[in-house]
Amino acid sequence: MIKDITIGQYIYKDSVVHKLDPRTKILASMFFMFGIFLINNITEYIFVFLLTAITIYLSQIPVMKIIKGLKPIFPLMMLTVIMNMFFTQGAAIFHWAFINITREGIYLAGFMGIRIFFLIIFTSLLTLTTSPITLTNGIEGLLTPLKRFKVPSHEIAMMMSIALRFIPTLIDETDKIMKAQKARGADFESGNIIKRTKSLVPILIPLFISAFTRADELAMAMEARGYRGDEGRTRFKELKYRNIDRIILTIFAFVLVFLIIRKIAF
Amino acid sequence: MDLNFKSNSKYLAEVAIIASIYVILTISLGALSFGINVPFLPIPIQLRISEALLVLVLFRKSAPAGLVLGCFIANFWSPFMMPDMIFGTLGSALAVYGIYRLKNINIFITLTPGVFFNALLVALELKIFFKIPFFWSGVAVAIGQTLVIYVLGIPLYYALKRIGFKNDYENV
Repeated sequence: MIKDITIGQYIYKDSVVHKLDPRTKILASMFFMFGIFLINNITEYIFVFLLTAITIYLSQIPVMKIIKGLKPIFPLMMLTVIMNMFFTQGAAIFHWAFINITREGIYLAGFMGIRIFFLIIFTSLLTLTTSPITLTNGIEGLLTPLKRFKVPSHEIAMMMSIALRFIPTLIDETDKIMKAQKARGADFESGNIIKRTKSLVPILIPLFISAFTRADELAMAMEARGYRGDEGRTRFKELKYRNIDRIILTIFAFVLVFLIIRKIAF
Repeated sequence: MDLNFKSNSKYLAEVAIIASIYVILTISLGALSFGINVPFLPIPIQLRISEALLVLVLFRKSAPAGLVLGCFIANFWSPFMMPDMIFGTLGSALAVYGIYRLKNINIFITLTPGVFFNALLVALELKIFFKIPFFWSGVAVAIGQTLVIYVLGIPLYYALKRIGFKNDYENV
């Protein structure tokens, strides 16, 4: 029953967006996240829409797949829209008992909804077009300049890749443990919330024991193969900025700087 | 076997495995964890079962790093990825640090940062990105965290003690 979750959202396609350097994609998503909070009129939202639409088109990711990713966040989005609509002060256009709907409230709710919508869609393109391992390499690449400040970028990336590699193994393990405990009469599905939460202890304990044994074995295997950090370590795939990466990053950075200056100055 | 704890690879492997457990508990037991609606509270409460792993901080030196990393990786699956990565990871880091500092006090007090910092940071995130009232989301997260950390975490803590799970802070 646990097995049918997909590991990551990554969809393989042979597209321009997939081939971008992961560092470019991470930085661009971050710039986008900050930028979308600084834009404030319809024209700019149309630009955001075009940017998102073009990126989706170029990435060849089916639109339905992206819309599906919005589903879990939908209640939160509705809550935002409703809260903003009811609790914003301003010129009332509808009034009943303690409910006040104002013009300002509707504008704010609309903008908030659209903003979150684009934010989720654009950033989810990052995980849809980049495999977790490539993402890890990208993060390592971005952290490397911080080595001067004692940030262990190599170790972080190493631990992330090991963690990702063990996710499927440990999911199998959890599944087996659940079946084994069920066979012994454990009950995970009935009772109130407190009882159900408590019932997870018999899953977690064996999971810890087996996982930590694995960690021991892995550490020994690493030692045996002479792992000693990143000194002198070479990679099979080197990350390399191409011209397209430079162009995209420059444009995103320029737009963000422009938006920040406008926010501060006007 | 545990003599070489100082060595780097042992630490790396443990951190990675703890992160991995955190991730699978977050994404897979999503099926088991559930949103509950509390009367009068405008926000549904979610239980993040993986937060019960916070008790591992009291046992292993590798747990703080493992939990923070796990929280970071788990957000690869979140639809609201970037902000979750920043706020969620920061919340976990503060929680873990708080628990680490309080680890020699009564277990009930030790675990409070796990409730407090996560509620604070998540409520802040929801306030900034969704304009949802800070107080209510804070309360909702705090209730969820309290349930997981105290109802699941504390039995877990005693069970781990009972089976003699290795504790790095006790010299054996």
